[in-house]
This record gives sequence, C-alpha cells and structure tokens, in this order.
Amino acid sequence: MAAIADPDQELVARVARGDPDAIQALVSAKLPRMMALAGRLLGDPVEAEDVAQETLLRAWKQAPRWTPGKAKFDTWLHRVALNLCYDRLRRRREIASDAVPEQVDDSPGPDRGLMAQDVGRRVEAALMALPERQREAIVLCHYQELGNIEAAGLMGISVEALESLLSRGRRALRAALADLGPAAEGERR
Amino acid sequence: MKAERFHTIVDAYGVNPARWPEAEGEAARAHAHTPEGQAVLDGARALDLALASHVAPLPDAAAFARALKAAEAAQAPAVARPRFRLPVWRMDRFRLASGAGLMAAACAGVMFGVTLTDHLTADVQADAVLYQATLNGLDDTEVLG
Repeated sequence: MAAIADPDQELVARVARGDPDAIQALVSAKLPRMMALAGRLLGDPVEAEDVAQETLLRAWKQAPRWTPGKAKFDTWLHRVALNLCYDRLRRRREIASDAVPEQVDDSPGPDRGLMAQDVGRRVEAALMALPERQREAIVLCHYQELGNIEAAGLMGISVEALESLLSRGRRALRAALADLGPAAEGERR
Repeated sequence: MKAERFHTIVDAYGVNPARWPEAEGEAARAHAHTPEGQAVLDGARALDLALASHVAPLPDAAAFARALKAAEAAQAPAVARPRFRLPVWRMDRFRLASGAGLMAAACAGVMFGVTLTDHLTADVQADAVLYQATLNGLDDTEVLG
C-alpha cells in the first residue's frame, strides 16, 4: 500500500520532539477545526470546546508514537473527535428517553420575521434537526471539506452510501429553509 | 460525464468543485461549463450560500491558552521521585547495623525499666517500714502509757 501524503507530517514530528512553536502551530490550526466539527455536530459551543480540548490532549499523547504514511493526522483527529461526539450524543439520547418530551411551539411569534433574517441561526437549527448521520455527512464533506473517500472511511460506510446521506441531508435542508425564499429552494427539481 | 452523474454529484456535494470527488473532478468541471451543467449549478448554488452563512463556534483566547497549557503538561516528562537504594553488599551491612541498633535500644529499655522498678519498689518498701514503725510506736505508747 502506498504511503499516504500527510500535510501535517512534519508538524507532528516536531510536536513529538517537544518543539513549542510546532505545538502552538498545531493548536492554532486544529483547535478551531475540531471545535467547528464538534460545534456543528453537537450544537453546543461549550461541549464543542470540551471535545476539541480532549481531542488535542490525545494528540499530544499520540504524537510521539505517530507512524507517518499510514493515515493523515487530521483524519485521525477527526476520528477521535467524532468518537467523543458520538459518546455525548448517545448520553443525550439516554437522558432524552427518560425525560418528558418537550412541547415545541411552531406558531409564528412576534419576532418570527426577525429570526428569518438570521440565516445562520436558521441553518444551524435545520442542521441540528437532521438525522445524525446526514448531519455528520454534511459536516464532514461540506464544512470540514474532507474528501468523499476520507469521510466515508470515517463514517464506516461506502462512498455511495455517503452520497445518499448527503443528498437526503441537502434535500431536508432545502425543505427546512424553504421559507427563506429562492435562496434555499433553488435545488428543488 | 453523463448529465445524470453530474446531477448526482452536485446534489450530494454542492456547487464547489473543490468538494467534488477527486477521481471525477476533471470530467465534472468540464460538464459544468455546458448549459445543462450551468443550469444544475444555478439551481444548487442557493443552498450552498445558505450553508455558508452558518458560522461555527470558535475558540477564544482562554481556550487557546488552555490547549497550550494541556500540551505543556502532557509533554513534560514524568518527574521520577528519587529512591534511596543501597548496593546489595552495603545493604547487608546496613541491615546488620540497623539490627544491632535495635537490639541496643531494646536492652537500654529493659535496663531502664528494671532500674525504675527497683527504685519504685525501694520507695514502697521504705514507706512500709516507716508505717510499720509507726504502728509499733503506737503499741509501745499504749503499753507503756
């Protein structure tokens, strides 16, 4: 098997030697990236930071043992962060199954028009309403900009299955954001 | 590339060619320049724009500081506690000396105990003699008047 080219290889090797500049560079590059991943999957910035910090903590321990060429360090970080997110999502499901279902008010409120203008928040709500696997596929491919083979590998599915999740996810998002106007309805065919 | 496949790619990955499958990227980019491809892209662009408006949570300065501190702690070599170890040949001497010391301390303790007991016993005996003498004195007074 051909060695995998890893853009972080040199940086990880320097981190393993305890180079403070490399540590700082890795934190600058990966902390926001892992926090974005966890934030979009969990929808909670505090939990997202916990996941990102824990992921980096494991990175420091892993760096001296890291074997270049077997995988990308960034992919490995995603694997760790995803597992931490899965744990938290599982705990949420367990708590939610014991709790009384929350009543959601869908009626238009006085600030409904104002909220509709906040497209970012609407998108976040629509993302969080997606089934977990569809959300995960969209976050990995669209926001984290991982390749399809890499994302499918992380999710433990085929590329075809990934494409199916992505298509269904985007369709659901279009439906959820339809009231934003042509911005979200364009793909409807 | 067939129009149907291009449609599937855009439907799954959106309008940005950077997100398209690497193996099909070139063919898909070529198809994107056709009127048919442009129509597909025009239809999909809106959702990509909407998705781009979502800003992920970003770490603040304190989060960066915490991460660096954790890295520092994780990288610091474990501080081994110095352990006092004697070489084997000196260990026996040490143990012997320790044993002898212990024995000496035990003997000293016994001697002190015996001495203290003798002293206390002597005091008690002296008191008994004096008491006895007093009793005898009383008897004499009674007898002699």
